Amino acid sequence: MSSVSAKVLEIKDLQVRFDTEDGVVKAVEDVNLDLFSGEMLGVVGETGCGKSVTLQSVLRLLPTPPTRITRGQILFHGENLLDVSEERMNEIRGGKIAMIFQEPMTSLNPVFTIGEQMRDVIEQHRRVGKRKANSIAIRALIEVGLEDAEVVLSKYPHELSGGQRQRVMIAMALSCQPEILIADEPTTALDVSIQAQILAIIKHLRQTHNMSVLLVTHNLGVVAQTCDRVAVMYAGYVVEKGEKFGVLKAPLHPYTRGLLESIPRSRKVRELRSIPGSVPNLIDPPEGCRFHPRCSFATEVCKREVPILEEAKPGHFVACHHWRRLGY
Amino acid sequence: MNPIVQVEDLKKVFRTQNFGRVSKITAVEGVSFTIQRGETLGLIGESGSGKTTVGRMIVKLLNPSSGHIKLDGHDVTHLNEKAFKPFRKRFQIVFQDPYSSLNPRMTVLQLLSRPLSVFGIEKDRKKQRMKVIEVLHDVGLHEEHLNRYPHEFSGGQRQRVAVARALMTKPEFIVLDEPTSALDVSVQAQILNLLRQLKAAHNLTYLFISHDLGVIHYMCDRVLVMYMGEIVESAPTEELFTSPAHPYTRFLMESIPDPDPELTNEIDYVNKVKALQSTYGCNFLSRCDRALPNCFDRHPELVKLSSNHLVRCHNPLKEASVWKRDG
Repeated sequence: MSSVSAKVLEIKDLQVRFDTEDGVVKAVEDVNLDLFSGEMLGVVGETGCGKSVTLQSVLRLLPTPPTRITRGQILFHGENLLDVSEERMNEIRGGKIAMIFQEPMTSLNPVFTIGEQMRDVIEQHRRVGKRKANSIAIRALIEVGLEDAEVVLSKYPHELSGGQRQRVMIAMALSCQPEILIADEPTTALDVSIQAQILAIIKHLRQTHNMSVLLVTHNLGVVAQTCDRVAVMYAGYVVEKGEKFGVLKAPLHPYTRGLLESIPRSRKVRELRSIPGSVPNLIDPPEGCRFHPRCSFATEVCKREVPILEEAKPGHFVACHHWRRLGY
Repeated sequence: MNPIVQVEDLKKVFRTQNFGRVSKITAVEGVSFTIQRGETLGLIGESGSGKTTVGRMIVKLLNPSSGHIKLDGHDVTHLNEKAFKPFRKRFQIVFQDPYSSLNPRMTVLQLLSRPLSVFGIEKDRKKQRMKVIEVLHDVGLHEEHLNRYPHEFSGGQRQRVAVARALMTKPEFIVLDEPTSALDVSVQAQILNLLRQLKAAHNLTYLFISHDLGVIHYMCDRVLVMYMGEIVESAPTEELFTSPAHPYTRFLMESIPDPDPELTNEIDYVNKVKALQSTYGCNFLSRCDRALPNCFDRHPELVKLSSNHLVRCHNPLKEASVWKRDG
């Protein structure tokens, strides 16, 4: 990825809160992410780290209430999506920025055929007639590897397999020629062999259409094999980000390192390294660095002060008081 | 000594009704294997391969349509629930989803003392409580957790409770059905380590069912690969990963995205799936890139490549492995 390419999306100082009966959930804190033209950025983290909330905020998909975006900007070519009208948002959503989700069955309407749903979306965003919309849909389905596109168009969602449904979702996203594709755990519900196909399709389309892709996943393997850069989130914060080779081969944050060491790979390993404890409750998160109760390197300063995300190496950022001590 | 589990030619057909139309689905077809005391046997396959059905038939949560199951040398295939009860105590199961496998209205103490009452192991409340605390310590929980309800725990802790419940009857054998696939990776590592420790401490034998090859590699001594209800390959873990013989096994290995960005498998997945099909031939035909004319005509048998490596393929692989994660 050349550094001269343009920023298409900038998430700046994003802070998100949920009001619940038990208290205010501090879901996302000071998240800063940039997405460059043609780039694929992976956002990884475990349950409750705020990765999906961050990306759903981009398209304003979170219901308000209970959600409150309390601070920050989301700039799409410089236009703050948090300020624009709902009409403008409808143009962008699905048109300029498309999104696919984990479980395609819940994103497709079960009582309409694939063809009806695809044509609807295409007519709306590309302002074309039914016949033109149909041919665009067919082309998109063929591009995602559904060769018998006309048959697929006549089917209902339940008549397709999980992998086929996710292909339909991608084709639908693609048919509106988006600049950005946001993929929220697109392969988590699928078998590994189908996952490999879907990831290959996303990689392929991103090249042929010069799309930028924001991929949310809990799977470090998926990021390693598909993305250019990666941002690791923990308990609402971005704790490390940079080129994937830097972050995954020489991680600076103890959490990233712990995650990588937790992945079972071989029987020759006597005991897997694991991260003790579990993800904190974000209604009452730990003071200071939110990772400190689970971190074997934590000291007094970690309990008091939130570490800032600093540039440790060119393009490689880390939020840890002690990264110098732990560096490879 | 008898193998602790022996299944012969196991078959399971499910009947489903859709608007009055009855259709049959063969979930498991002619599966035979043995499990020796002290080993961890892995069972791997994708959704719909029949791996969970096999696990459930062994502990008689499902009855096979045909075939035989022997536990510790006794044929239990046709035993009724009452006659099977002594075996249930010795042969336990832990399920994938700790959110649905624990009764939300029972405390940990109630959940864990129940098996003690049901199997007549201990009736005295005080002694039950002591036994429960002992097992809680074994799985890394404490006395303070006794009066909590399942929803008060994180996913990992809940799975610890589920494992504790299986341990209450001091079983010899446990079916672990995807015990970590609902958990985050850092918590998964804790549970896998716990399961290995418990196995050593209590002389357990495991049938470990998973779709994750990394987890299987870490946990198992021997592995069975299932595809469409049949065993397509069986080998000791080391051998399976260094020299897989079935194209499906290799395909699974190649499909896993490795967390090391320098290890890449560049395969043309988009065009991988071809439209080959045959009623008589091999089940894997439609996804295979090594098919011979034979594969269209004859369903392959499970044949021996060596004394402990079996494969169901007319044209097995001979090249070295694609598994790069060692070393």
